[in-house]
Amino acid sequence: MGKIRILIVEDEPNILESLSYILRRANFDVAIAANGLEALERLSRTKFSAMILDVMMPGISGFDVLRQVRADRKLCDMPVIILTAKGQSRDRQIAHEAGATEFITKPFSNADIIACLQQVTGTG
Amino acid sequence: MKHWESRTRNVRDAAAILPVAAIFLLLPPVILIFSAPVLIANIPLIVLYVYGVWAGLILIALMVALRVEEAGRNGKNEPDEA
Amino acid sequence: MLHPDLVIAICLAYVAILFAVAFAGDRRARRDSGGWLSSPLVYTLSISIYCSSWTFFGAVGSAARNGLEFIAIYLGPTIVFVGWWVFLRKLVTVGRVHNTTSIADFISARYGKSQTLGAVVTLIAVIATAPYISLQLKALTDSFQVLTLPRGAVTAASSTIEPDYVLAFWIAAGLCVFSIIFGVRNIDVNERHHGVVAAIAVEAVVKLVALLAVGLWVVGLSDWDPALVFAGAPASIIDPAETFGPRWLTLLFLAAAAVICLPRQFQVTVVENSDNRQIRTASWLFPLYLLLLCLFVIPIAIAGLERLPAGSNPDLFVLTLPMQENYNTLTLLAFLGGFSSATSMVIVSSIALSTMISNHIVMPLALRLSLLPQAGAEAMRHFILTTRRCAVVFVVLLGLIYLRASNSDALAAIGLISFCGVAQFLPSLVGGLYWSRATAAGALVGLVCGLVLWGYTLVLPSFGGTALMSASTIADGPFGVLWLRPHALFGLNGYDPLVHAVFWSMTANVLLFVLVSLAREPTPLARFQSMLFVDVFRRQTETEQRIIRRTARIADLRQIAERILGPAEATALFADREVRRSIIAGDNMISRVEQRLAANVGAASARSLISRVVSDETISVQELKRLAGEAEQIRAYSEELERKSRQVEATAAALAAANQRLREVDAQKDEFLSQISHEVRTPMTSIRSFSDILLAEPAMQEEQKLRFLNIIQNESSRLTRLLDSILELDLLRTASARHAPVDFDPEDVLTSAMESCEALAHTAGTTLVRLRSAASVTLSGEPDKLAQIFINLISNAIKYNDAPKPKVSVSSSSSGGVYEVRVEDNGRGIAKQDHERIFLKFERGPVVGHQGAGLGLSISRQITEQFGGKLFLDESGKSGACFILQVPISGREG
Repeated sequence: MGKIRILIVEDEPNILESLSYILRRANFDVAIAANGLEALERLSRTKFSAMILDVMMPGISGFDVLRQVRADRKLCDMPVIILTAKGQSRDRQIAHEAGATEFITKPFSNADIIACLQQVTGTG
Repeated sequence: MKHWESRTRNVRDAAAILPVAAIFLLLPPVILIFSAPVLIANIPLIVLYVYGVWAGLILIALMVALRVEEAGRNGKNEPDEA
Repeated sequence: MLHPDLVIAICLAYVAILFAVAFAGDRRARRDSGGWLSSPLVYTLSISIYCSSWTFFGAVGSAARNGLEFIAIYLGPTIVFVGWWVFLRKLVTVGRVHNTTSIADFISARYGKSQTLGAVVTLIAVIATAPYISLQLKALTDSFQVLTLPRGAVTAASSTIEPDYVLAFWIAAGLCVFSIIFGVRNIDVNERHHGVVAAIAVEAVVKLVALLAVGLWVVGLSDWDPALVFAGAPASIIDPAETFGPRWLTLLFLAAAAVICLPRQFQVTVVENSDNRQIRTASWLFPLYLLLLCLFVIPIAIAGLERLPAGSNPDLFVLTLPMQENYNTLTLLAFLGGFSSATSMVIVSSIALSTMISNHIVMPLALRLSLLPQAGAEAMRHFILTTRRCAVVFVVLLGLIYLRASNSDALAAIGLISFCGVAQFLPSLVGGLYWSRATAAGALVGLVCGLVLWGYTLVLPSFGGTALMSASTIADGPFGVLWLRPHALFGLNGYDPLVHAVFWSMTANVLLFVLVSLAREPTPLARFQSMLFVDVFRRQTETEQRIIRRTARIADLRQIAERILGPAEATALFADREVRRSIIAGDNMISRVEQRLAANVGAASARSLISRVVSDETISVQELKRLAGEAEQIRAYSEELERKSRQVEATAAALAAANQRLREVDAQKDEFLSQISHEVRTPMTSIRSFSDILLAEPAMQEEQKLRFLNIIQNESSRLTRLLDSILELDLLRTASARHAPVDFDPEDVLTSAMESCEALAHTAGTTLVRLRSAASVTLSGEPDKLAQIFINLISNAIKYNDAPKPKVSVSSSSSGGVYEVRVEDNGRGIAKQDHERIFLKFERGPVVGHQGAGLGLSISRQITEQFGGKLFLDESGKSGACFILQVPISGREG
């Protein structure tokens, strides 16, 4: 069985680095995208088991990416974990409406992220 | 209490009707009835009539004023406009 | 005959008694305002100034000429007074509740405190009263002349007397002095004149006693036998069918209107009224007074026609009858009765008109032309009193001039001409009390048209073919246009001129009043005033301040109050502890001051004075809604409702807009908080995540570990910088809440900002120089905020300057209404593509050195926008970064 492939979309380089580090440690196959456009490009080329998606990004926001993903017939089943620093209930609601699978507020605990990922990909 | 209220209303009605009655009595055609050249007790009828109506109006107005005052004393304010 | 010196002595003695009564009345009123002076009896007696010398002498004259017609003049008021419940009660209550000072004030206040309306009413009142006053002067001089004529009563009665104008002048002067001394001594909220009221009450008794005495004596001459009394009665009394035609109706109407609309009647009935008890008693007592006064008019007239030689002036029967029989005491009493009725009328009329002229013509003009004395309250008070005194003299003088100008034959009809003139107020007055839709424009147009028609059909022809209107114009119309004949306008032929004039002027007045009122929407203030007047019994407690929300600076209000009222009264007005502590006056305070001012300068002028300092005038939606809701329940006037709900809708729309704005601001606040949250959480995330990793993997490679620790450290300091910025922002915001905008010189601010950055520059080894300075300019806003921008720009330039010899130069200039400041450094500058980004909130550009400055710059830009200006980077591509701040100059340059 091959590694599970995860796409991390995050514009903050330090967070991107820490995320990819812990995910690789947890034996995931990690791809990264620094903004929404890049993420959509990668999604169109490769199939991922799940995506970790930051909300506040330059250009296309995380919610917009999510809505496009859900609108795409090929991608609509992919679990998406929304990652946000904005933690207000309104954002949680928007995320839910846009079709987020999970919602994690920054700062997060590494263990939580891994547990969540394992849960949504069914590898736990 | 009910009796008192209806009395107040009567006063109010009388007060409102009084000027109308005055106008009715002092304008033609009613006044023309009394302007016939007739003397009563050597006084022209019309003089008696006009002064009589006048005095009558004053008398009723006096009664209305007393009633209104009484109503005011009975604890309530002046009965309000209908 | 009586010796002139004796008559003069008696007159002077009588006047001295009146002075004493007036003086005592004033003193008494000052000690105890609720005493006998405000008793219903005195009130009723003062209303009897309705019976001027026109009644005292003229009623008998009229009875001798036209039979019973004269009674209409007294039956009209009788109907109004016995019907007090219907109209008078409401009029008097409104007048008292709103501290009305005159009929002009009443009408002007009802129609949205319109100054124009007040002035027009005053004008009509003056025009209508002048002939009336001249009538009194004529009666006074005539009676004096007859009394002192050496040839004896019989000849006196039949000869035409040349009016003695010198005598008339001295009588007029005496009346002016009395009016001024007792009528125009103080300025008060309710314009009540206790002294004068006391004096005219005495005069009322004297004239009633005099006429009754003469009447009883005359009846006594006929041995109390009705047959003898009416033996020589003229046909008009025995067979009076002719009397009760259109003229009877017209006279009833005019007299009923006059007893309310004559300025002097309005003064004693409405202005001097202090409670409803008074009007209740007057409702029967005043008609009774009239009845008693008229009781012997017919017998006296018949006796005069019988006993005096043919051709005797019937207007003087009251005097000449006892004279002829040589009853000197009775003659003197009759003379004093006529004297009383004439003087009381002139005194009260001149006082009422002087208040109107001063409040509605002189004050508005003085306000508009800035003629008011600035020297202080005493000067102001003096100005008002002088104005009123001059107005008294002016009014009496006008009567004198009219007396001189008109031919004396015309005087008989003058009383009715005056009545018709003041009756023009009736539609505005009645409409104002009962019809809330009536508007100022309607009242104005109605009044003016009524005035014009009255003048054309009645006043001008009354001069009987003089320069004002030629005899041919009266007969054939102007330029021979028949349908414009003043006595047969539009071909309305065959009516008595008075009936004709009343018909046309009142029809035009009422019609235009109604039509124009319906055509135009009233202003919110007018609508509110109309509710107060129309619904006076329901809303006695309502006052203006509950609906109209206004604010003004206490200092401004106080300045006005001191100017008009004087320091003592102003201090008393503002003595409230709460008021002394605050800076801004609320509705209560403003209304209180306005009401107090209205007493001195009239409601309309007071409103315009106050509105100069009121900064914010809104009508409370809730109150309007409440009023509308109440009206809905109480009345089913659907149209009225519709109109009100439209108003509410409009205001509700404004409220919705305000709410929308509030929501937007709220959303902005949310957005801002969420930004901050994001900004704080982002470095925290890295810190937490990497520390998790480090904790979880103690055996990590040293190099890797160091790198992660480095990231943690960097992110921690980023977090610190961020928190600093937020604190700075918070300080700024609390500062902005405290200060109101002021005018200031930004150059001073710039200089002190540079001084406060001096230490920072020194530590950083940066040279801070000032290059060019602008000429002194004025900006409006908060200087502290501008200082914040300057400090932010300068400290950024110092902190992030990486040149070997760092230097920051500041220059300022002003041209074309724009004040510009440049802050320039000699560092590496900012890349062109980042020029806008660095101003964005929390934007962290890749620009090394300017990292972390984001919040400061974005705030600075926001503040600049509040000043209406711009903050941007110079694009000219010089080596260093150059920030430019441009703000429009508010004041003049110089």
